[in-house]
Amino acid sequence: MITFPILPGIEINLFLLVFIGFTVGIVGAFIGVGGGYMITPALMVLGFPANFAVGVGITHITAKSFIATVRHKQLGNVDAKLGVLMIAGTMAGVEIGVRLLNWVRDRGVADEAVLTASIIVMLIIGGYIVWESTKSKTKLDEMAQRRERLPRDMQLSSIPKRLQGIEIPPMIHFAKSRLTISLWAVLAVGFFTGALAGFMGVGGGFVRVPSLVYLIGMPSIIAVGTDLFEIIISGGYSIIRHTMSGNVIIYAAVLMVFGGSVGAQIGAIGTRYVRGVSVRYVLGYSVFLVSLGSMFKLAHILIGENISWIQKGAQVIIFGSMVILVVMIVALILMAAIYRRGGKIPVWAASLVWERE
Amino acid sequence: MFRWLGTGKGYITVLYNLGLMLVLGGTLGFLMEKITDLLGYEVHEIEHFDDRGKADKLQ
Repeated sequence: MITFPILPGIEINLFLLVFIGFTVGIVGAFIGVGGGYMITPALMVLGFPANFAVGVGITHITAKSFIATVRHKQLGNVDAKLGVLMIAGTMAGVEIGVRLLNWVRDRGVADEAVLTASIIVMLIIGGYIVWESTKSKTKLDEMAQRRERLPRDMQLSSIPKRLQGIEIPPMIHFAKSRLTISLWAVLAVGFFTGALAGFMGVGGGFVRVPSLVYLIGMPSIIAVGTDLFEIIISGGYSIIRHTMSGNVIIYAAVLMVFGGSVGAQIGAIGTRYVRGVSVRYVLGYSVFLVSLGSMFKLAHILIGENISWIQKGAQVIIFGSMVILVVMIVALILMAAIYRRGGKIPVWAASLVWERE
Repeated sequence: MFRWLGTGKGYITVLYNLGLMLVLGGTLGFLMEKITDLLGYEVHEIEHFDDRGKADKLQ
């Protein structure tokens, strides 16, 4: 076992760092999130103090998102115009979200209440994504039975049509996503997702990707690439803030980027093999797993420190969820590859994979 | 020799960390692209819309 001295008295297994970067690289590049919600607790389990876990995580996420965005750009999955315009709303939203969180805390609302609210929001978002994806898949299955040509992406939210119908100038056309929408709607969605992310204390990819799909009306796979593009900018800002606070151990981040660079290729290229509904399925389950992790965190606060079964449970959830999500993604890619070569795959999987090159 | 950069808080460390992540991201991204090329894997744009050719002409 090769260990790596990160801080005086704390040595970390080098391969585990690369492995965490690799797995989060696959998941993040496939569903369009940075994956801080997986990395931070995983690094804490390895022995990183909390502030370093956050700092190292966000530093490595920026480089990994850069690598994934380059690949997604080649695949035509990045709507840079919408991404750039949305950043202004997102940044303002994050600031308001953080201020709201501080305001609530200053008025004596305990951490338990804030965490409970975050869990409820995550359960609602995750629940809606899984519910909608299941309905979309059922519809695709029915189309397949009627031998109709299945679209690359299909989602059932009616909000995008309504938002696109609000014609407040300036109206902007986004050629990549094939939609025309008011700039104010884009800024408002960015603000809303940023405020939620700021309040919950997360990067917000798992809020932004569903918002781009269900509110703006962007195809799921373009939402993935566009969100990763946004993370480069927001992550760059976070590197500055965390370095100035002394929370970054750069060597650890570099090791994780090596793992993440390979994982990001698998995740990004994996989007070529699936329909949009598959990306949303994996995203929905990942949000559920995050909320489970947060429930353990809540239990830890409520019951007290150093309860071994809670810590063990949290470790199982964190590493278990990373493995489950990677297995789901790899299984989808393999099934698509088999299907394209004329092989047989389960009937239920046919509407999840993309059959053409 | 550069151990002080590890958890430093100064402007040089900020520039170093930010620059290193961008350079590392760019270099590894380029390297991965070359590796996929060497493996013979062709990466081309995904068809997000079935009527792509038709719609592009309309625009």
